[in-house]
Amino acid sequence: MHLRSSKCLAPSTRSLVMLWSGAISLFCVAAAAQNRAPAAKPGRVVTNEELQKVYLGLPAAKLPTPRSSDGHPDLSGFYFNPLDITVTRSADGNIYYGFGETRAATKGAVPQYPDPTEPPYKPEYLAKVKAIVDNQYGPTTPDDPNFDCKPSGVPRASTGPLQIVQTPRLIVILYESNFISQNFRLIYTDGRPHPKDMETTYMGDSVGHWEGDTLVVDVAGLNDETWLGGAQGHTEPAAFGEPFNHQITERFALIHSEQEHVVERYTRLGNMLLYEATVDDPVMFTKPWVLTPRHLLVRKERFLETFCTPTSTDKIHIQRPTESDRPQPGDEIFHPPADAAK
Amino acid sequence: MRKFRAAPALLGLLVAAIPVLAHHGITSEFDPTKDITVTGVLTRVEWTNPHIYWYVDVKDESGNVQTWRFQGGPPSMLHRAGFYKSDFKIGEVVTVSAKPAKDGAKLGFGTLIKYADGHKIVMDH
Repeated sequence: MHLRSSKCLAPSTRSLVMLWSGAISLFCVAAAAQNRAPAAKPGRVVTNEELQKVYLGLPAAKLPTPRSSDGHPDLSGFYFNPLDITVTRSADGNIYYGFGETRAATKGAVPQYPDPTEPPYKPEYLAKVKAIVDNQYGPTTPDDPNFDCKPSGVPRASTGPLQIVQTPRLIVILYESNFISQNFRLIYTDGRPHPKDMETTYMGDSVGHWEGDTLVVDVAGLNDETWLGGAQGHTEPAAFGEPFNHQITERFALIHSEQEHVVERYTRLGNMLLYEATVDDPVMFTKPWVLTPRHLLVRKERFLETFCTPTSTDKIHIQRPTESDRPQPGDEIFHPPADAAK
Repeated sequence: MRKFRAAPALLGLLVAAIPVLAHHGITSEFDPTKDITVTGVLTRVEWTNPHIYWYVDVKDESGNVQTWRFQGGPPSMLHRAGFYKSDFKIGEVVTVSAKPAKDGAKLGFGTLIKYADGHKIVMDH
């Protein structure tokens, strides 16, 4: 299943695949087709096969990339990586739900992920970011705009559950969030430029075009009311170090200015969507930042309505850290009372 | 289907051995070292992001009603796993165990709901 040969690769992609030693042949083919330079820091990319085997207990499904009538890949579909929750019902009507049990059933086999990347903030902005991180409790801070139910912005939004609806001249991404409210973006692929009079908004203005089999989206007009990534992972102790829900966490990926400019790349690889993004912010960064690529699985489930309310994040109840209550390994485990199983 | 349910001790071992991941840093809001238990009438469920909540009206010693609010998991993921809003029987008397909010609010992170008929919902995060 793992491709070790470099026969299918153009020279410039060879190092990419060598670095990402777990990449499957699907990825190799696509990478060769794109003939691009490495997009991310070295690390092992979790494969579709691995995800399906470990989390779904399914055999690998190598589907061909679907195509629309205009010849471009058809990105339409619902994509997410399932959260590791198991619900069981006993004959006497009891209900049990637990996190992490699929993993238990697979004897702890957990996909490995690339190391998180860190945006190249200028020193004065890195200091601001670190001040935010120092004032968060474990992986949580009410400073996160998501705690006000604000949209996630770009690229953060596209790392979660999303439905793509593709037409020849317009592509719509519908976001089903795990945290905030559902949200959407329109990506115009009819050749129009960004409007000259655009306001800055949470999700910005998106125009796209095809480069080979990859949809390339230029995003501008983003306001500074979002974060680049979540707080999760910034100061997580080693015991919490496993990726949450297949999310790859960035380090210190928080604030940005209204000069944020993103180039996204969406590539359908069989039953998987590869999401890549390069973020530039000439105000806060010393150079563009390359997000760790995400792989989202095609899912058959329906898109579910999700809404966040002014009180549902419990923002006012989130604590600030002191030295004595920094979370300890194991704190995240919330067991039912000892007599629950009786 | 789920063999280790018949052996709670084994389940405990399994869970203890695995770093279980909560939705976000729940210890920033709730105290994992404490447990509270209240009994009252289940009045409402909010199927909201990022967590679901349910409300229980509890009568104190002098007969005054106090409303407790309890947090659960993320709604879309719970639904897909097979846990539904309808599992909360509105109007019924329930006993809820939870990890209390650190700020003293009448709020907890739910770990167990017991209905008067004896059936229960066990939430192992």
